[in-house]
Amino acid sequence: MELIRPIDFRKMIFSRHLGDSIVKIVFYCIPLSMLAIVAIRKPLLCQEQILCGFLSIILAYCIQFLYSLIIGLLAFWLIVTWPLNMLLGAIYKLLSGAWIPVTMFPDLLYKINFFLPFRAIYAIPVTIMTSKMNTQNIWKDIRTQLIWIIFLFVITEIIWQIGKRKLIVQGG
Amino acid sequence: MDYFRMYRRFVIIYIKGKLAYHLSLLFELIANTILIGVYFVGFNVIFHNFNSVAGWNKYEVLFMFTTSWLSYSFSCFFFWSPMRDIGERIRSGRFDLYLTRPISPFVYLILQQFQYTFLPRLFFSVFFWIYSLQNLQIKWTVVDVFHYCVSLISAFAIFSAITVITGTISFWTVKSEEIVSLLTDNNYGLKNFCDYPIQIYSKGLQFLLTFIVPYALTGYYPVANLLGKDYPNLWIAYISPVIAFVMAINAYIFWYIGLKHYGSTGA
Repeated sequence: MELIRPIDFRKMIFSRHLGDSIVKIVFYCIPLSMLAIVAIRKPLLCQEQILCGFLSIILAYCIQFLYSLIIGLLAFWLIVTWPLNMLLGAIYKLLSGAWIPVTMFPDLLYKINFFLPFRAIYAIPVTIMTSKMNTQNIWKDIRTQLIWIIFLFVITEIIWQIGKRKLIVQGG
Repeated sequence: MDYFRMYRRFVIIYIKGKLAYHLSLLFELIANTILIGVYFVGFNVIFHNFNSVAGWNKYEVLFMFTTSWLSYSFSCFFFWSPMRDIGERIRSGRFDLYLTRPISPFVYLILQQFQYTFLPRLFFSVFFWIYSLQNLQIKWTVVDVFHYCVSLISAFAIFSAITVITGTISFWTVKSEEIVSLLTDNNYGLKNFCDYPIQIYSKGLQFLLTFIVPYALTGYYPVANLLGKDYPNLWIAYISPVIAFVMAINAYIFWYIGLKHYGSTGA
């Protein structure tokens, strides 16, 4: 049904997601950040790297969107995606550094995590915003994020082309 | 009313219904297994970096939270699903169906389902419980075993009571899911604070977890007593059955009040 519209499907999903995210930022992030700044007196952010930090956050947002889009597009085959979402949510919680910082992982897990995009969604922007890193490391991290964006974009494109041909609409 | 025979019939029908979509069932079980597995991996990562948390080593903490999870899984087999869905049932009006049956709505809600998605959690809990027991040396006296079993039963009662209370709130509020998930959510809720010895938290949080929402009584106090740790309030472990009983009565009364309120003003 949504394919008949004259707008590109993925751009529509992206805009919708962007709109949702802006609302969430205004209602959740900004009050919480102000509360955190008031409650924690020590300086939280690394001043010189804020610009790179924002760039990193934008890239991380795109990575997370593309990765969710791939899972959503898999609905063409799986019909329901909530178990997959739940699964990847749990893996994300562990591997992205939201629960335990990435630097604390044992070696094997660290090596596995290097090949997955989760680190680029959470750990990289947070590290850039809060701790002082030398310029080479910052650019290495941003390059990792860019590589993941390109890679995920290619996969999205492939799945979208295959999926369009194989569309199963429930109930016709 | 022979509830056991009724329950057997209900559960057979329920499982048959679920088995009709067998791939979905399998996928749910696999997803839950991986979810719980990831939690244990994370737990391992924490203890890879620190040898002990507040004086408890890895196996002691493991033993503590697997005992808590054992009773939690059993409690959730029966109580989790009805209390999660009750909000939606009330909003859509399907709850009235339960009021027209000849058995009480509470019993009916519980009898008609069996939340099999907690089986992976139960399995992992039993496995790691045995694993941690093998690595700890506890001198089990008869009194200890008795006290431990009583703690498990009262933990079951506490978890069920909290679940029922959070479900009953939806008789009054239109959308209570956020408060419910604050307390009971498996990933982010208050319950997960009790997976670790509560000495590491501030006094206020300790008080909250002991007296107001007594999750700490399910794992921390009985096991700390068993392992012979010294902590400030030793006597709390012995009153956990009393608190469990009181909470169960509270939950029942609260449900009854909620139901009366719904019956007389809602629908």
